[in-house]
Amino acid sequence: MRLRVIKRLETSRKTVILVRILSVFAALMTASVVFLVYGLNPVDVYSSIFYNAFATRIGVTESVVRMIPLLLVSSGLALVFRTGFWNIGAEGQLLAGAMAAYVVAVNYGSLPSALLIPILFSVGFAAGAAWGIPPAILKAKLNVNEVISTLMLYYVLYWVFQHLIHGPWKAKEKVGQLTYGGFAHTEVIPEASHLPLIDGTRIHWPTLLIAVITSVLAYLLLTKTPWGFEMRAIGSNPDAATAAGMSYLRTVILAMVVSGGLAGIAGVGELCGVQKRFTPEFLSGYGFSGIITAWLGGNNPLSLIVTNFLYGGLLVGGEYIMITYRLPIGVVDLFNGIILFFVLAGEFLVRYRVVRR
Amino acid sequence: MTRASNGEPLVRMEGIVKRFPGVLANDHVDFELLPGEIHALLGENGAGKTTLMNILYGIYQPDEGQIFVKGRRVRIRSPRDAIRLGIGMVHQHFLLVDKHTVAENLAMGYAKSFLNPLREVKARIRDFTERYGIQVDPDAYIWQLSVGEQQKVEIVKALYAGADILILDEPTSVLTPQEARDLFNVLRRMREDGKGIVFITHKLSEVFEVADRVTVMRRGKVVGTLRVEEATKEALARMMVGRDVVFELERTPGRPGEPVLEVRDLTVLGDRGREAVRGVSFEVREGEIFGIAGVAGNGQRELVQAIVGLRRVKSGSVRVTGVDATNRSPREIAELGVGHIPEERLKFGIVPDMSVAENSVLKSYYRPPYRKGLLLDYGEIRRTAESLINEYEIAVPSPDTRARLLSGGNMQKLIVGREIRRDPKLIVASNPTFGLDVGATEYIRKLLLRKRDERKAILLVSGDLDEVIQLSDRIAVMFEGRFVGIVRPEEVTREEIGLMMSGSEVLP
Repeated sequence: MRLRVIKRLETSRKTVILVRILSVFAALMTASVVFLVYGLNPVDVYSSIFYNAFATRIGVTESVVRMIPLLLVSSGLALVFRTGFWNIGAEGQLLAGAMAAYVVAVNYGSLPSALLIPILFSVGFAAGAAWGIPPAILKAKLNVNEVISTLMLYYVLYWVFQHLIHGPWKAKEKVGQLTYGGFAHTEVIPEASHLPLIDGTRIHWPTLLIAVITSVLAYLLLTKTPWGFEMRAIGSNPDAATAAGMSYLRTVILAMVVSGGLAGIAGVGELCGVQKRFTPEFLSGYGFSGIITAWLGGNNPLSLIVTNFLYGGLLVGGEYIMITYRLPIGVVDLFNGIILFFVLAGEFLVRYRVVRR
Repeated sequence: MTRASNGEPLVRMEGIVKRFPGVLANDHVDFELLPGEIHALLGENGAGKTTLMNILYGIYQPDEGQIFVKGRRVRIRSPRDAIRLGIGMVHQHFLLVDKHTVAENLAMGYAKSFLNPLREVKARIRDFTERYGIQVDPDAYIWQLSVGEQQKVEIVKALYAGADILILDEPTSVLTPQEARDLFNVLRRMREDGKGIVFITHKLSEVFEVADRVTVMRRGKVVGTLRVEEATKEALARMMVGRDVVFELERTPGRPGEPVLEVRDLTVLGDRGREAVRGVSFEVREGEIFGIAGVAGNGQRELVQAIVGLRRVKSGSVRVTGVDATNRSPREIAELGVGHIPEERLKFGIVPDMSVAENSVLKSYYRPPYRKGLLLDYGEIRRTAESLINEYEIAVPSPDTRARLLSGGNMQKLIVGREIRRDPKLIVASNPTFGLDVGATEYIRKLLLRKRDERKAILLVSGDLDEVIQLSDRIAVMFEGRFVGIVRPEEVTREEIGLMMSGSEVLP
């Protein structure tokens, strides 16, 4: 008996949903082994993950808090991936947005919130876009591989960031009369730059609003406008697209402006809405996780919102079991990894089918 | 014609079935090859000829059916198995190491002596030259050789491996008529030697010139196997296409008017930085088809790309309707009234993942009526697609079907329709019928003639000499980046053009 893999010509919606459900189920079965090793009943663990992520008020709101940056990043990535441009450096663009917002917040903290906050978002968008444009130009002009250049630019900015918070941006601590530079973190940004929250939650609603609106706008841009037409044409067949008169450079830059800019806004939300200051652990990998959620949910805004909310819930549930069951953080990462691995492997079955011959 | 033996078949394939996703490529095919025969495998593109032979050569495994080689039932799992059974195949794309010499290419993998294999190789090459008349210089580097010469190296490679069953996949598509005649002489001498040769082709004339028997395939099935003496051109064409075919196109003399395209001293660099087009000058007038003939790779591709703006012009000028178009962008040139039917339609002509509707406005989506403000008007786009589908008889279930699901002929109709709808003054067509079936070919050729009669200027570049002769009012023959000459088809013979294609200048 031999197994062969055949590409599916069309995939029905039912198949897609069935494959997704089965992959999650298979992942839970596999991850059970890990929990059994720790002497835990997997059914208990899973029900507490589910319960604490999606069935309590705090679980749901915390899942939304994590959904916000993921949704911003993945809306942009879904667009740029359709252009055939593999932006792996959204984490760097997110950081660029946050750093630019920090500079503005610290220097113009006396402005009223109503004025300052729109400025912060605009500046964050511009900085994220600016950090995303060079790889687009390098690719169009010199055929530099964008996977490498976007990722490397993330590292460049990451170490600049580390330098700044260990040095020039480090907060001055005051104990009695003494002033000294202590831990590697910055001052808390001025009050006026803090984003308003929904009462009793940590949801910074301006960013949530922007995230939901932009996910719809990015989708409309891609599917309904001439620019989106160019992006999809270039993503599918750059030779034919350029032969038809489209500009590769212009189109890829536009896609990266959107993608980098939205990541930058996510950075503003993280700084001004959640963390309020920079610490060495400021980044929590939303820029990278967004790649996965864009891949899984990138077909339309609704599926992006759902996917990112579920992914956010997975993060919240993971943190919960880490604390409740005193599991090492590695186990939580392993659990998340197994789920993603199975879901992505399931995507293979959506696109191909295996037959016996 | 003589046949060396009527003994046991070298190859017998019975009930071969091969399925690809959505296609039945071979449907219970029977095929037989005798020793000492040249067996033509005739059919349109997509009829399943190459698939059948790839199965014999072990590249594909059949889903059903049996193969016998020299009377023994065999399973051929890979080309290595095939070579061991004495089967050799020359593909349309050659598999040679460019930077090595002919002898080195052969020594690699085939020579038996460990020390100084080149001496052994050279001796064997001399042997093949004597026996079959194959002329190759063992010390030449592959990159120095013409396509025809490289093909000979591939044949020698197969012989070297001990092939007595030789499969040639459309071997003449890359040759000048003279080179093709040389090849046929070699094949005849190999036949005398008792070898069996399968000759895949879609050209009827070649069947009559060289083959002993012919098997005709259509849509994955064998329509019949005939002795060539019993066949007529009309009968074979009917078997191949499934209906009667008109061979002659009606063509009235052209009445050329004002020049639409003027090219002066054009020099263009090729991909490797060498001059691919070297100082070419010509003009194409309204109401005229200007044909460019030549063996592929002599600068035709670069010339076309420079004209339509896809490649930089190094020196010289291109003018369209009197306006300078040198080094303008593809969009600017298109807007001057140039329509382009590109070669490699799948690569340059369509966006396979977009719908037929979207592909039908690939060059005009950015302006009204398709663009309304910030948005695209998909209703208008679909209406355009529907009218193209009707007017150009494109077989497609709906305008929303993805373009990748179209057959080659329908894809080409879509591209041609899209370009003509923009009402260009100049149509640049590169190998417009390459790989199309007889019906679609006929359609496209008639359409080009009709557009000529509607006073369009047409630049036709084609590797198919018959097509150029049939359609053109004037023919330029291109060789190594230059025009060897510009002739009128009624004033020269096919043979003379063939000679010019190999660089010889002919007095008109």
